[in-house]
Amino acid sequence: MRNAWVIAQREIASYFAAPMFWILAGGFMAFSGFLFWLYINQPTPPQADMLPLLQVYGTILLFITPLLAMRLLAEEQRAGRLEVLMTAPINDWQLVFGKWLAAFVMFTVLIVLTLFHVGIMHRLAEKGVAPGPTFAAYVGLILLGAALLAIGVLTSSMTESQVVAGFLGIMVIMVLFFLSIVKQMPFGESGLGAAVAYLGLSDHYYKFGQGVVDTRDIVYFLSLTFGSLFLATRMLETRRWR
Amino acid sequence: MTRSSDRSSNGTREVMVEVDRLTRYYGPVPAINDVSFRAYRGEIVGFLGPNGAGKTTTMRMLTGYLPPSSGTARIAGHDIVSDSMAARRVIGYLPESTPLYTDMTVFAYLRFMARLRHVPDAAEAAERVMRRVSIDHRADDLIGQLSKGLKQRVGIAQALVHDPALIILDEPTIGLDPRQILEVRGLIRELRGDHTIILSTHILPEAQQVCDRVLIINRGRIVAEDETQNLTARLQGGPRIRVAVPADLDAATVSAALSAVAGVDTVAAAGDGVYAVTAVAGANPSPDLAETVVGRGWPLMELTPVSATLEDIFLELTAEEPAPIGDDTADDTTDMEEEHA
Repeated sequence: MRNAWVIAQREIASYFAAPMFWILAGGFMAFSGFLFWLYINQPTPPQADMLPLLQVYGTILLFITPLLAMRLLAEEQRAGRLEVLMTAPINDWQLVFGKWLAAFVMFTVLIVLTLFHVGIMHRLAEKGVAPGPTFAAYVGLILLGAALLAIGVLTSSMTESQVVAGFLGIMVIMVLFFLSIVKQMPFGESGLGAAVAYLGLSDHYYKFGQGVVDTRDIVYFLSLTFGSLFLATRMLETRRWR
Repeated sequence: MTRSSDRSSNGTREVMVEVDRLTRYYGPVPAINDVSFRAYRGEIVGFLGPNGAGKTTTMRMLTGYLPPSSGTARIAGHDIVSDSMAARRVIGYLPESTPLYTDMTVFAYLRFMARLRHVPDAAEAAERVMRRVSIDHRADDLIGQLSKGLKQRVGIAQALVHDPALIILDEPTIGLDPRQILEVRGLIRELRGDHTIILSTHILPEAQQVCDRVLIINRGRIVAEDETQNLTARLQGGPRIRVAVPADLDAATVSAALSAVAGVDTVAAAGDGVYAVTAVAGANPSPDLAETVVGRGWPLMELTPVSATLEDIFLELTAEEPAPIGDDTADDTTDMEEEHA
């Protein structure tokens, strides 16, 4: 864990020093802020309900997280630094986990910033914001981000090109997100259709958005996170055999 | 120079690196085939060989980046296959491309590398190593802004920061300008004694200047291994002498006259009145050559003994058909290993 944290610390400093994070953070804050403004200025006065809004924030993450993660391993490979890291006395898992952890910390900063919106909403609404469902929605956002970043780390481990890693990440995430649609198809009721639909991200995520924290969904997101990071570790390992 | 006397007076020097029949295949082709050698504490060993000979592959196996297909090596007693983490801890490694984080300052980068290497006081270690490679005046500059020579020093510094028993430098002077090359070679020589150093190079004078011992690698095998000066002496054969007379003298006449001198093996006209004379081993025909030339009434412009350089040896050993020499040296290598054992 100490090794992973050394990797993560360096990476976090690097995020703050590079324009990419500021562009993504600025873009995310501007866009989510604009949506929030639209939401509270609806012709019919808004209910003190953050949930629809937080769901929309979640969909923005589908695009932001691969961009946040694409650099992590691809750039190390391109610059040849992976050789230095992989000959240091740390194992491949610690390296991959450390990289992911850095992106996760940066992502959490972004999510924490949206708490401003919750605060404003709480002031505006007569009864205030219901804490339980809002908390559930945030748990969903954090778990979604963790899994999406892990997928980003995985695609970043596959190529030396940040651009390829980023595009691949967005594509994989899109497919995974909309996999749940399968169940609306004619064969969706069959066992296989249901199984495929279960793998889809969106249903699991939207349940949090409805204020429901279900252990099965938590297990789903954690499996996706650690599964992707495990595969990324194996991807790095294959470099040793090429 | 002092090294070799060390060695003969003290046969029980501590073995730092023990490479045992290391082999690595890329597909069906062996990049490194059955390589064995040792390196001792405080010694600078050079891997010398043409590009693609397997130098980098060998280094990558020693550092734990590539697993060997068969065979193994022990670094300070730690097996690189079964105890990789312990072996990695005692190694400092600079890959050929000098990969650095260009967006970090020199100090921050070295502190990061020290932490990664579990150095207790990383900041102090970074300060110390910056002074050691004389980069401390640029501590707070971004690495991306440094010249190539200074970047190379940072690269060497990161390989030193945890005070490793073994430092592995892959082509440490490649891509530098002549002044920077001298600086880096000087730096490597300064490290001599404290650490065992393995470096690779395809520049022959570099191996001659910097290394105590040279392993010549070609096509994945060690074709020669010896102390630098022995290697030069060994393949020299008979002494060579360069004789120069005025260019207008008939080459055939001069060649014939020189060939007739006792102790001369071959004479080759090199043009412009210069003749390359090879003597029979053990003979020194120089006085007789001078007498012959002067006796004929020819002005003697030059008479110089020529010593074979590592370059000659290298070219001889790595030539396309190295069969006879390769066999010889393979025997020699075995002899040397028996000596060590």
